[in-house]
Amino acid sequence: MHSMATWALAACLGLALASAGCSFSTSSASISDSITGSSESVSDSLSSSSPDGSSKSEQAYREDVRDYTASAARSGRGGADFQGGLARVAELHGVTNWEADTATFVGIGEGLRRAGVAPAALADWAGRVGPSSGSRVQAERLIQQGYDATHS
Amino acid sequence: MTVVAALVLGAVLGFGALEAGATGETRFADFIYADANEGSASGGHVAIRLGDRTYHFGYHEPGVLRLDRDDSARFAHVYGALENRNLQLLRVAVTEQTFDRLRSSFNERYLSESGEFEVLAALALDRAFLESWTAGTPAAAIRGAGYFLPDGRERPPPHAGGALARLRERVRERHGAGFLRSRRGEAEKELVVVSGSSEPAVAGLSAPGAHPARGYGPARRAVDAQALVEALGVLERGALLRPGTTLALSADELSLDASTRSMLSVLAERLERDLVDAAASRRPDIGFVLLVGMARLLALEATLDGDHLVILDVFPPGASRLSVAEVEARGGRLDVLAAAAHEELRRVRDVLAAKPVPRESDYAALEAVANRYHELERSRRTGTDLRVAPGQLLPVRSAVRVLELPQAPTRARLVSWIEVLQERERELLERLDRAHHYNLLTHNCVSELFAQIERAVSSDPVGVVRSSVAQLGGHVPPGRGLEFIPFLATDAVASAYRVDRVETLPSYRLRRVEEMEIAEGGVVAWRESNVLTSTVYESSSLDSAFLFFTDDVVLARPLLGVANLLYGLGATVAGVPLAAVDGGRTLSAGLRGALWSLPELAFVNVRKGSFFYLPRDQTDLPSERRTP
Repeated sequence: MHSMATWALAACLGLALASAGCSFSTSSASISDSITGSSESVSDSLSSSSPDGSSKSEQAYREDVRDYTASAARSGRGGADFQGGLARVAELHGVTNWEADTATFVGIGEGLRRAGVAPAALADWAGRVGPSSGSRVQAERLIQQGYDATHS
Repeated sequence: MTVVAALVLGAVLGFGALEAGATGETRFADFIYADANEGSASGGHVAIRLGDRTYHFGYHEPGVLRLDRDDSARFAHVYGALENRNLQLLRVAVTEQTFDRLRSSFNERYLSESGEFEVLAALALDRAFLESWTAGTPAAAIRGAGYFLPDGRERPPPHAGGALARLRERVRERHGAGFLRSRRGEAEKELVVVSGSSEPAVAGLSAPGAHPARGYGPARRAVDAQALVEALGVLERGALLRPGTTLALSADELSLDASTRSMLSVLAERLERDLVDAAASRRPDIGFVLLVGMARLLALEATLDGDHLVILDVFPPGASRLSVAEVEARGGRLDVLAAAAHEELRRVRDVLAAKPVPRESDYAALEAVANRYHELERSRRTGTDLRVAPGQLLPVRSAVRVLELPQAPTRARLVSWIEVLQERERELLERLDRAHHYNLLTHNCVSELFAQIERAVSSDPVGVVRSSVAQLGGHVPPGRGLEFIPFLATDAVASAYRVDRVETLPSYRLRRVEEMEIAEGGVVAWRESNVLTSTVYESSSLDSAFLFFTDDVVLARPLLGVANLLYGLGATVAGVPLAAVDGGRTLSAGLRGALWSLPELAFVNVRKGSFFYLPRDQTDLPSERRTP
């Protein structure tokens, strides 16, 4: 696949690797991205892109909540620690009030299914993470919805 | 231009091709090789693209290797366009199940890793708070409070009327007349309880590999309780946003038509409703949510009462700054950058205006793009430094508040808490160092990518090879021989995995030159061969000093390399007396120019030039799904 020149490159790259190694997390060339924020089109991510009308950003948020929940459930974490981690994941997506976002609870349900949590334990999880106000019932319903729509 | 021809987008080489669909593969896991260029990752870089997300390991300060996650289009834009590298995609055909397994595994690791580093930062904050308590004035940064409150103890005078008065009334209607006082009393009681607490500083560390637990000890409890006290105080008394915490875009900059105003009105109504619910939430950090929500509510009110967009300033206090001269030296132009940010702002406004019920994150996106545009425009007009902040922007402006703690635990208890936190920090640092320490040969962006692929395909180390063969068509063990070098790792993938096809995306400059050649003819090759007459490339202080591009010539490469070497040496000599004036920029560029000319003498190209800014959509990735 590569010619002899590439082996010469390997030798030269010894020097290159020693001086630079792996890609820097924020390379100089991508500073303009931090200035304009435009290399990842925000407008594209907000547009609806799925049959259920959810945007790419909403799907990405739900996926992160799902994966975070699955991992946390497998390691037996709940309560304030779970909520603290959930808040952090939500902030990655511009969400501070995760209790008010339906995608949060759907994602939690999906994650619980992936972690192999038994259906009987869903109400307990809803009690731990659901809002304390009247929308608790809705949270339970959304968790169940996410759980049912996911394969383990 | 034979090299360009060889790199034609979509070239299908057909390594180990399977009959389409014969074994149920419907997705691609793309192994991406970004070839060498000077600067970061000068030996090349590797990544795995899984749909719209691309995962790769990068070097982070201080000397750790961490998993980075990028939107795939952003990855292609940064590496293929801005960093001007050729991208090679080795497309491994996989089943939906394998694709899902890979993506979840990489994603869980990404979330877990970023959590670990945040836990470390949070522990340091908790410890700093306890230390201030030991010194007699317990103070902590309350996120979101900076929009209403100054540092210290002082509270601004009450403010009657407006959006917060309406919110207060709705809270009373919903939760009862005495609710706010009672809730505030609970938060203040929490401060009393924490003051007399004998609980341990924090819970134990989570097990390695599990999601990191920050623990919830007295320091965090006290700060959360104080945040709630401050938030409820703002709600009870009413408040104005502090000067300098908002930005205004004139109607000329961003017009607010009827649909946009309607969308903002729906947002304000929804936010108010959510805040009424949030006031009763038992979430420990709900004070932050209330502070941010109320600040946004006031910004929305100001917008809807006027004819222009008023938005919170969401740049973090520690945002780095670039002078206009630095931006220009790197090849950036503020007017071009501002125009791009403005265009994106208008697009976001239009997308949101078409949404029946925008989400909080939609508004956060509007805040972020409006802030970035405003910052560019401000810097362009005034010539002052530009604030720069990567990633998600959120309104987290803090105020360092003195906590209303009625008593202090004994000094001995505070000291013991601090010692526990220090011990946890040390343990976590050691664990992070063991897990993430960067080693050029044994633990780098290549070896860790293969290690993570192994973890994804099998949870049982004994069955890794069999699982990898079944799911990917083969197995590439991490850290084998010279395969820590990105292009040799790419060869290993081509040999081992079930690569359905290989597609190459030429670098931005090569693509542009080829387009020009088709349109303009032979003169283009000469014109674009050097930095002096090129119309595609603009000199940047990020690049070394060189004269000729050598990535699209082979036979003449050593000759051009000699010219580049002499040019680099010349710049080095000239840079010595200039160092006092330009801070050593010319000298550095000259030395690097000479260095990166050396491989060219042996027919090897590394340097390709780079671009500070390019409009997006310069690098299109092939479809993530497999077509029969």
